[in-house]
Amino acid sequence: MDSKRLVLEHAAMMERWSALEPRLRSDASGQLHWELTLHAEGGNRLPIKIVYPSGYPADAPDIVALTSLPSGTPHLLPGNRICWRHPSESKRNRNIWCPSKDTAALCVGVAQRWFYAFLVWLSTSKWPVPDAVSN
Amino acid sequence: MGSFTPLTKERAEEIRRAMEQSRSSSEGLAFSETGELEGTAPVIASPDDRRNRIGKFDTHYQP
Repeated sequence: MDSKRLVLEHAAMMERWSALEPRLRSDASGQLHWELTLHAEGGNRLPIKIVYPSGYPADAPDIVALTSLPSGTPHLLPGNRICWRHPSESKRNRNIWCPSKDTAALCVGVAQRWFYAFLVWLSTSKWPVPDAVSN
Repeated sequence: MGSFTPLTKERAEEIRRAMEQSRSSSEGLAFSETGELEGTAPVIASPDDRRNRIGKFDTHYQP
């Protein structure tokens, strides 16, 4: 990621989510990610990281839960990754990653939405957001 | 494993309704600065009220 984009990413994250104290980290291979903890009512917490892929921003970030989740949790991909988009989606504008407009700050909101859906599922055994199959 | 506290049935239903409502093209889920769900809000409303609105990625896919 070039430095100009990184500055933009940092500004967007701090403008929207500074209260969650997001921390930008780098792993041993130099891959950048944000770490923060989502909050929800009832004292529920979900630590996550938002990982910038090597192809960013053309490729969307991965959102990874940093705690183990109950067996059978819906919409969870291998590696504890939150399922939040379909790579081949092209029909629903609201569900398409836009490299020129979207940043990792968007992913925090997406993760927050997922977390609330998870809590509803945990409480009712029903995922509250409609499923779709992309063709 | 993470420890999670289930929601009441009433609160779970409120959240389900908010999520359904937020799938309209003009509405998004609204979160406080600390991520508490505050219901829905127009996605093009004034940005200076410090609420975060999520009007995108409102469909989930079966892995």
